[in-house]
Amino acid sequence: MFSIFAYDFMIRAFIAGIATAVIAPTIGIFLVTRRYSFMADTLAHVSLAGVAIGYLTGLKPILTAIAASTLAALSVEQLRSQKKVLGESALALFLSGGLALAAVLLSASKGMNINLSSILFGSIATVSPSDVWWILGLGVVVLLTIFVLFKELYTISFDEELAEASGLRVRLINRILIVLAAVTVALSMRIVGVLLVGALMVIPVIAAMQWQRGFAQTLFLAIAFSLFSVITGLFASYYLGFASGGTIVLIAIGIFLVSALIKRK
Amino acid sequence: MSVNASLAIDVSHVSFTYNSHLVLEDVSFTVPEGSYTGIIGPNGGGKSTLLKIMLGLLEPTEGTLHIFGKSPKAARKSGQIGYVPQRITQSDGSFPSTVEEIVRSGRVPVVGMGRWFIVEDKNAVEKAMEVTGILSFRRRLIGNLSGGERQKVFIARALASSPQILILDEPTTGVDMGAKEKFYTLLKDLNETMGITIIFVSHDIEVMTKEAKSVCCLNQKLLCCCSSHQFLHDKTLQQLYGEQFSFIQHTH
Repeated sequence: MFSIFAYDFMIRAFIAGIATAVIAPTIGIFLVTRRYSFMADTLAHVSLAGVAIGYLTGLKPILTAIAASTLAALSVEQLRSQKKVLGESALALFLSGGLALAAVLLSASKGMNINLSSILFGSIATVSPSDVWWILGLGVVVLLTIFVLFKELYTISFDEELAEASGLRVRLINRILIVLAAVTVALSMRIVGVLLVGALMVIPVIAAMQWQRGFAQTLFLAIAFSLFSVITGLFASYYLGFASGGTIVLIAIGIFLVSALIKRK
Repeated sequence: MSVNASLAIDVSHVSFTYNSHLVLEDVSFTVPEGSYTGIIGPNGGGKSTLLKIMLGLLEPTEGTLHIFGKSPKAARKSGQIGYVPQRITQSDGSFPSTVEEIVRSGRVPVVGMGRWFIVEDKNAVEKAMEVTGILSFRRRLIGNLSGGERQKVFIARALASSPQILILDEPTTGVDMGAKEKFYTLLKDLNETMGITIIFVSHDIEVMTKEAKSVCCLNQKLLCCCSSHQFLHDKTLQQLYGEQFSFIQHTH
């Protein structure tokens, strides 16, 4: 039907893209409702340092990215829970730190033929078969964990103090969420790129929130918007040659604007 | 107070020190099951700290506090405590959630991690919405409700775990007069018809005398635990709020 599916790399891009489109807003809704949207961007910048470590050491970049962002996520949460650094400042610390480390490491790896643009803005041509397996495998783990902890995550997102007073293990569940966010960021990087991962986790959610529905319906709507953005973006990227990440995020922003306009009336 | 009633709360010689500052000093009192008790005191008098100890969020530096013979943590995990906070951080309207979803979240600690709601849980949630009179707006968004309606939702949320005791922290702050009256009528009903022990913190003397059956006056130390009318003595009020305080009676 479409010549686009005659290429293996495009099929891989679609599988990875669809998996990313489902996971990103599923985690994103819990970050947005806690006013923690900036977290995804921070973890993405630390992931970039992880990717650079992967190239330098010869390890798989997707795995070093997961390791780096998980470590950063847990450290941010630790700083936040100890109240030594205000939540937002902890994020700023890790965002700039991650970017600085990535800059140094990438400059040290000159001559290694790294396509920086595809890392920063996403590229559909760079999804390898093993990437697809990692994205699918870890994607299922992320979704299953969210499914099992959904009611606890919802309760904590609504009001952390109230959740604690109700007897929920808030610290443990917060740590699990933050690790899931770190994994999601690293997995989403291939398709949307480091600089735009945060957007895919946040924009479909805030677009869905414009429709003023309950929590579960907002989540389903956000996944639908995210899927539409990714699939349309991948087509546009293939036929028009645009960077996949940028195209996907611009479509998501378009959905947000249309949603906001319709609901304003 | 019934002498034979079993104890809902047993506070025994509780002291709490924060950064070498004594917040609570040797506080002891008991709350019988089925009673309706108010805790009053000036700002910084230790009301919120005592409440946090009751909820198991803080450990007393000295002394013990039991709820139905259990530690507060054990009691809240079994859903025996329903808590209505003063301020719900997310109730500013931006949180995407229906009334029913919020009430259901009150049942989460009882259901337990990794399990889903069964018929019994769903019935408890329905009952909580029914007794608080919010069934008609169960599908509405929390952000679209008035202050009074929201407070009812948070009471329903607290009731969803089928608690034996309801702890409320300044529950009618920012709620208008009409809604406030309805709110306390609801609390009275829950106390009288369902036998739920109610303990609430307020700095509102009028609410204390009108609503609570007994009042505990707290200003670092426990000044008295008495009937709501007995506490309206100049001496008690001066101990609470300082020498300048006097009580003027109006006759209309």
